[in-house]
Amino acid sequence: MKIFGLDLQQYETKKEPDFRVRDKLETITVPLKGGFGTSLSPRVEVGDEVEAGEIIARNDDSTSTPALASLAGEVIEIVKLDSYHEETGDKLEAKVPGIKINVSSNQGTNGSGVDWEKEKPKNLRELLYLAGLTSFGQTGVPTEFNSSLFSPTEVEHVLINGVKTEPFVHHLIDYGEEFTLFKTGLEILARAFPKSQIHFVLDRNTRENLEELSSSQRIKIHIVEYESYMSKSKMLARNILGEEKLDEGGYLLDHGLLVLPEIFPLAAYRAVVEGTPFIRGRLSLSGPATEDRVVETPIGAPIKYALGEDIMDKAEELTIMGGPLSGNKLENLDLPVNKNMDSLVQLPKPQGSQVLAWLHPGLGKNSYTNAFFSALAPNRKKVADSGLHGEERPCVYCGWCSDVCPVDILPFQILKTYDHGMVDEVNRLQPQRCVDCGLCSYVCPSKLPLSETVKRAKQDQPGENHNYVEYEEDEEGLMSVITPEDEKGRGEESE
Amino acid sequence: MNRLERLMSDISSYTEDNPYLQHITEVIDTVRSIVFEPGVSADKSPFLRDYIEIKRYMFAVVLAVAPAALASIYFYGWRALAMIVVSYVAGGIAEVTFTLIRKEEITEGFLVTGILFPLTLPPNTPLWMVAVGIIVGVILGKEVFGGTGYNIFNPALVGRVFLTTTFPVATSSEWLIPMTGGWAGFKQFSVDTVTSATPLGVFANSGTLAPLRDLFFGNIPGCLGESSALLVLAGGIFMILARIIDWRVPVSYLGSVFLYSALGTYLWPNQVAPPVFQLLAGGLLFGAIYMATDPVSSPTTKEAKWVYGVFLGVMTVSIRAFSGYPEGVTYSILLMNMFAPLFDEMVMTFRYGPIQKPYK
Ligand code: SF4
Ligand code: SF4
Repeated sequence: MKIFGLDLQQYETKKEPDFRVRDKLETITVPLKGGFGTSLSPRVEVGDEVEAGEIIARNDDSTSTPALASLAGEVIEIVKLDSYHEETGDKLEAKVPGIKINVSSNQGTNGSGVDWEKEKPKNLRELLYLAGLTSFGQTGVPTEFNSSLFSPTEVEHVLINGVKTEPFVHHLIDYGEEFTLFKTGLEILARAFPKSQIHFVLDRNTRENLEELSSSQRIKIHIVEYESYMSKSKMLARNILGEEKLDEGGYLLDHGLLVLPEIFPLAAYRAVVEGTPFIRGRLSLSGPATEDRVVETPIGAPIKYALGEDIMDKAEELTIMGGPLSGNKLENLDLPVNKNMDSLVQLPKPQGSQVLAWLHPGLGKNSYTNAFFSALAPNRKKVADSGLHGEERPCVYCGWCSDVCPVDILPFQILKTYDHGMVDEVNRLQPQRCVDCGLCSYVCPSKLPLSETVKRAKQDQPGENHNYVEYEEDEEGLMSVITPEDEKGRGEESE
Repeated sequence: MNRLERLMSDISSYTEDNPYLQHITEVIDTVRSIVFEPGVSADKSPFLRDYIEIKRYMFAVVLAVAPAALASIYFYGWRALAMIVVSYVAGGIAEVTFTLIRKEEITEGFLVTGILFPLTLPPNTPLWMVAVGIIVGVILGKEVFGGTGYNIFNPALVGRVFLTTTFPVATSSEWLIPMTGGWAGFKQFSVDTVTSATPLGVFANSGTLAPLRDLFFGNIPGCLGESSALLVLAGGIFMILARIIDWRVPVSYLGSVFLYSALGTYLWPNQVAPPVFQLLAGGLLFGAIYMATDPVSSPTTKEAKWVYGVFLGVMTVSIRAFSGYPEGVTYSILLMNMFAPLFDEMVMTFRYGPIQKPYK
């Protein structure tokens, strides 16, 4: 409980998610991209029979990670799927190819694992690559197989982000039951990147529920405060690498840091010890408008199916991919599950047209200010919906957006200068520090699009500050990534 | 949608299509948005949003100043209420006219200016003068700069300075003596016992100090809202606890007045009044709590707020002690409003370094 400041824990329901496996499918559509890297060209044709775990698309001459069939069956179609910008959520012109498979068997693979303690690091990295795991991370996991813009020797730190502090979002790992496997996964990573330090970061609240966390020399366990912005990898990176370094911009791997999602160690364990490639992803489903679940489902299953029939048709509610503070709207529930999806949150739409809403006492209204009666009842659960709760107005310079910003920038100044096209001013205000936590927009009484503007300002940064992968269409209308080399080349031309 | 709301949206779509009534659509829409929260979803992340909005924000300020406004009726009769109503009506018309000309949305900032302005005036200000003052304040203090959010000066103070410089006799030669005891002003329309000076004026002329107890509870002549230090302070504490204003400006302003006048009264006892008297007399508390904290015209960064407050304090005490005017709060705040962007710029330069010009 806080008297002053933002307390988003007041939204939480704290329900234990219900774990389900959903693998009875008739068709799946494997997207030929998932995470970092170019879209792949299919290696199979319509009519081919594929096995679960078989590589169905691979490009060796460009930075990429192979795509695997997640279930056995017959290829019936090569389709084009809609794609969305990873950061802004905008729908892109370009399409991603997908391979549609008519499922013949719901059996998993029957691969066999290796004794990881005896394998060479290089072989472990190869196993990760073949298991389809190297597309994770901001710029891919470095291996000998062109899976990343960087090479394995450049990895100094590996950070596993186990912080789930945005409201409602669940952990994908059951740290009670699966912790032994998870820990082995961390050790496998330590062996695969022998020169690096492994960091596993958890939030304080989750830590309390864990029995014992032994950190070894190679694996460091960090506990961070339960604040919503702590779930942002860039925030954790700032804590581990130091702020000055990151203020310079660039990819995290430019500074030797590889950030991986929570699911990675478990997936690495399965790939290496059990011989099961990454063909089943996990999704957390939560929010006041729905059930609390963690589903394990084959990659390529329609999202709707993965969620479960009982909640399929809640079209009224807003489904968000990622957390409610920084995720993007999910427009189409028929899209297939891809490797990078980890959380869906459903928020109810606001009740329409309330009479004099601003005069209501507001016992259930969470606010950064104490201007509602809810300030007197901090333990009462707060109503969460997707409402804007007001209208857009000019900035009144209350300064709250900069008060809540965890990295000390002045979002309202960036908004003002960005809207006036004052590029030098914007750059001075260091938008590249922003970790996309969304809190500035959360608190703004004028409902201004602050975090969105800072995000755009950050993407417009000159020089080598390309924090984000950009997409453009290639000849076939498929997406490709602009690598730093491309970018440099362009810069020179235009100068 | 209930019937009333449907009616309003019908009217607004009718006026929008009608070439003669087009321009009042904005007014109807504003009224509608004040009455009904539209219940729209956030379009971009974050999808979860705070419940605070500008209407609630401004309303909290009005709520905080309400006890002082009620007290002004108690001290000076119902005429005080008439001044507030005139200010709202005249200022509202000016505001709406301007937004219609500019075809922009009407903003809620006026809710606050409309009540703060009359509270800074002497209780016997003629009603027509209240109207002139608020119109000037809204137009010259705010609209010419582009409306709420773009103004450099506090609009209420611009209106007040206009009146005190244009009509000096009417606004500062006679002061009403407040009524107390029983129902006092609640039973009558106006008060007519007059005196020639406020406690600050008395001190400037004769060096006599009014009793602190009267200053604190409000038994002294002065402007409408500033009579009772107690109620002004209560409003300020409410706003600080509700987080509507930042505590740094009032604390640094009042703190520097206290320190500077403590030093000053030791060095120049005839000119500088002692610190507690300085704090309680005149418009200082009202200005520090309601005027200097106006977020638009004050600095926005924390560090600059401290600097701003300290400068305000030094300036106020200096004007009170060494100039021809007994009171200096209004001038100090307006003057410092001009420096607010500069203070912010200094803080940003300190924090981020100067603006880098490319290709230098
Ligand atoms: S929170 Fe909104 S209104 Fe307040 S300073 Fe920031 S942008 Fe302006
Ligand atoms: S600018 Fe906004 S989104 Fe970015 S870190 Fe600060 S508060 Fe978060």
